[in-house]
Amino acid sequence: MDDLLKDFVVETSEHLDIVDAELVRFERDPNNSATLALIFRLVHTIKGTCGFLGLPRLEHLAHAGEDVISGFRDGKPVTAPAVTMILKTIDRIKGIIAEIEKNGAEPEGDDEDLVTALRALANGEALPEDAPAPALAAVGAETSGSLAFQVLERNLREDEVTLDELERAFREAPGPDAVSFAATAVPDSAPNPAKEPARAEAAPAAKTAAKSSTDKSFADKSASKPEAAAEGGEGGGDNQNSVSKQSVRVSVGTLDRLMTMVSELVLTRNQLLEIARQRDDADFKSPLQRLSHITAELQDGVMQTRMQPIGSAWTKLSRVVRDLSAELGKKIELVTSGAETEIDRQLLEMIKDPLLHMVRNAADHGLEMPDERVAAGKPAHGTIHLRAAQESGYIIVEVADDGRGIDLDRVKAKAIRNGLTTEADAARLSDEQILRFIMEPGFSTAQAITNISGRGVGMDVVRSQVEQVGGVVDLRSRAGKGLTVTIKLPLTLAIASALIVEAAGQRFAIPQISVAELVRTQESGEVRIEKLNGQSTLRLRQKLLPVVDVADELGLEAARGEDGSAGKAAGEDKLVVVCHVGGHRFGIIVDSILHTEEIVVKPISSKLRHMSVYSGATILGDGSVILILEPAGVARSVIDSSSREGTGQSEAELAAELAASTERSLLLLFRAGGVNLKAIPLAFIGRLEEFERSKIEDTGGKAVVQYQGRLMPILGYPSQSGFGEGFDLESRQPVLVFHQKDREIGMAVDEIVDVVEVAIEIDTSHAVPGTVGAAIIDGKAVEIVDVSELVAPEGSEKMGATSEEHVDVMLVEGSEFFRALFAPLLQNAGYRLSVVGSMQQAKAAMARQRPAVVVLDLDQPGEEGFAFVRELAEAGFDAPVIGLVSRAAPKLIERGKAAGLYDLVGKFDRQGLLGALGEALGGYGNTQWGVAA
Amino acid sequence: MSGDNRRRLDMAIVDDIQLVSVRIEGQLIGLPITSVRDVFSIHAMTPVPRADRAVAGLVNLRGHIVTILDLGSLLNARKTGRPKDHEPMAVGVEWQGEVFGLVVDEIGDVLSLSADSSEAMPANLGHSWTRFTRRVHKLERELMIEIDLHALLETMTLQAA
Repeated sequence: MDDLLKDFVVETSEHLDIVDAELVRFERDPNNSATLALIFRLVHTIKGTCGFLGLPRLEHLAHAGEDVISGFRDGKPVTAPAVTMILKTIDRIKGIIAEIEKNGAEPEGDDEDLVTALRALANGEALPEDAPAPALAAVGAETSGSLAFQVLERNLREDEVTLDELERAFREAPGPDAVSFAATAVPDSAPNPAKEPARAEAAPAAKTAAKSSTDKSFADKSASKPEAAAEGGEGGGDNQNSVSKQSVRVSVGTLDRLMTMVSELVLTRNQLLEIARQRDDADFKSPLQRLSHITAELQDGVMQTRMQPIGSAWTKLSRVVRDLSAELGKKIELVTSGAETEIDRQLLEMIKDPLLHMVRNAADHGLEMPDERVAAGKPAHGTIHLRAAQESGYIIVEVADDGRGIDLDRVKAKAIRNGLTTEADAARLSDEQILRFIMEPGFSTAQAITNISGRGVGMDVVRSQVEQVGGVVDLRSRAGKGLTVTIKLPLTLAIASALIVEAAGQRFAIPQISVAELVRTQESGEVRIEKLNGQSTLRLRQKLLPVVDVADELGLEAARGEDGSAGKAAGEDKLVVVCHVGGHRFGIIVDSILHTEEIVVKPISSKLRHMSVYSGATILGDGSVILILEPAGVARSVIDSSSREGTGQSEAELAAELAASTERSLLLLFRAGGVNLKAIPLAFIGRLEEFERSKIEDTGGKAVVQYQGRLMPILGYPSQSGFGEGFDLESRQPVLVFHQKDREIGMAVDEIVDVVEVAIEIDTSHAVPGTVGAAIIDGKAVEIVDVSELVAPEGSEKMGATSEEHVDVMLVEGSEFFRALFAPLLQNAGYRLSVVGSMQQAKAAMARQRPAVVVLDLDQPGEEGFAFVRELAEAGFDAPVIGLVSRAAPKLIERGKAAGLYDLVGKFDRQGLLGALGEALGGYGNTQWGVAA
Repeated sequence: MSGDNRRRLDMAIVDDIQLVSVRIEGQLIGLPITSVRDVFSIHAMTPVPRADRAVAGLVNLRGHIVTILDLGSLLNARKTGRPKDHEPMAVGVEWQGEVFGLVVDEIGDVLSLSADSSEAMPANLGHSWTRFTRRVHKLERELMIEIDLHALLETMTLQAA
């Protein structure tokens, strides 16, 4: 059944129960206008909802009922029959609701009988002539029913029964639920034998009442809960699985109180556990364990009561999308998954609006018009994906569209115009950071933004609302492919998991939601903290991560010295909490990490709320109060200071970015001479070819093939000796073609496996001859083939000249792997080359070799690379320096040029490097070529 | 004690302005008893680094986190830092639905005074005080400044950096 309908059933059942009760009260006290107003409102609501949901039969009934009640409001006398009529109407409605609940649709049939009677009542007629009101019994007759307060307006007619009789008939019937619905309203059809036994019992009773009355409307109460009996077959007839009976409505306030109490209980339990830890009393342990267990279950249970499937917030969205689709003339499909994911209702309430915003944005601005989409090679139908999932203790909600994505340049321009950043700063920002501008308050208020960036309406609202509930928003945009907004939310608001850390003798809590990992640094190890222009950075997995020391940030250094516990001397092992907040990654240095604890987050005093470093406070198990750090707040001071202060820190940022740019490179995976996978960076391979083996000739022990009108030698692998033996001459031989300066060289391989995009981490310690090392790709060790051996001009030195003479190009490359790659490349290009492993060596060799160009790998030294460039300039070397980075993002190039680099080239951009070299060597390039040749 | 004074004291009992007397840097200060929630001694207090200097810290008061403010700093009466008492006393004040604790150097009796024995604040007390000083009570031996706590907390919002 449709969720909406389900909710309607539950809600309406409740409303009806209230109306029932209220009506009864009303009847006793007809002058109570408050009661009347309540009844009217409820019936009105039911009517309205029915109309909305397309339930004409119910609507019709409710409408008629409403008219009568409205009459009461206008001062018409409240008569017992009128009330009974209404009650009956309500029973009928209940019957229909029960049917809907079971079958998901309104049952067949009509309620003209009731409606006519109700209309008659509403119009003030006693009741139509042919259908005289029968039950206006009361006083005149010997009635004593509970409904007997009403004055009978006329005498009982011949063919009428008293109300009392009617009532008795009702009571004798097995209950309204047991009585068949159907056409029993009409006397003739009442004894319908087609139904089950329960009905048989009901029928006579109903008949008693019905027979004596020609009044359709008063046939009996059997009109009430009919289908249940008809189908259930049993007297009770209540569908055991009925939605309305399964759930109990509890006020949110009650749940919130329960939750608060459970939170306190959790705290108390934590306190007890703490005491037990200290005492180590065995008697305590087992009951405490039990208490702990029960508390946890209770906590789960209470949290469960607050949980709602997130889908309930989505139902509205499909409607929104449908409307927008029509309005905008776009074809939009809303695809949802994970609608059953449960989420704290309070959270749900708070993200409803952000969700709506995001979906509307996606439909309005993200998706293109159908013709645009088709032109872009996309299906005309735009798709918005709504996904929800529970992942490791958080709720992840994602709104993804397959539209045009966000134009970063426009966002950047807009951000600069709005004063959110400066041109210089913007150039240094990562895509992710630029993207985040659309969530800045100052950004979206500018109304023109919708036309300009295509996005941004209300995104600041989205962010603030999500952050308010302790969540984080992430944006991912792929140009032309769409935008994905991901919201990560805690499972519940009240209790959060936190890391308890200590800095300078004071404990703090850091919410787990923002913690990515914990790292112990070592002075001399792989992971260490280094200073870049006074700023600490952590070298973690070859990436530089800005780090801040909590004690410094909070000005605790003094206290640290005081309490004698003595700060950790610089360089000593440190603990770093690596946080990922809002697109920023950074580390927070702490003295120690104590444990994790479920904490009840209490808001911080209004007097401290302006402090962005704290998000709240909590009471720990031992009763002490600790502050909850807001990592974004702690980081903000870093980020802010870096943009405020001079170049030093901005370069630190650049360095971090350089590090972050250690992007992925394409590797060709193949097999040759063994089962192990081998790899060569794709950039070094000219072409992939397949030759018929019969075409491969053997000239003087060397394999050659005719290729583009020339003979191309084919190097076998691993040795040429095995070549040509045992091959099926009919089959084709895959060959990797390498371009050399003036010719091609082929390399025969057994099989070309794949091209993969990976972040290469090369372990050169395992280099064996013919390889430059091994890398792990998809968990498998892959040998990286030493291309220099294969493509270096025959007879030339493998590692390039290290002569004392002047050289054209000095390659400063710390990585053996890249040395092995670049040296042959540059030599092949005809340059006299010297290769050095570090900037120190470069400095030493500079004076002697006087290179015309320096090629410097910037990935490793990062910031120092720029310092080196400056030093060279200061020392009077005017040789242009070409920087090599893993990925030459435009802004990096710009930055690099600002730092004095001649050019920045991507490491795997072979042509780019050669082009830049040629350009740098300028006019005398040709001579150099000549010399080299 | 002159007869005049005695008469005033008698009246004071009748008029019944009840003030909790506290001392800050030697100065006697009266806090209206109606705005004082309770008085408690502070045990383990968690400092709030980087907060306004008037914020002494946070304490766990019967399961609730209460922000402790230093009354002396709030009044700008501190020449040096707050004396490092072992378990300082604080006056609990409720303001805008939140409970604050105000640390004082010393806490005295509750005095019943009459408005008659008081005067408006002398002009030379300084502008910063006018906002939260109600009046000055002329006691037998010394003067007591009656402070409007709520006005004081209001002012503090502005001061907090």
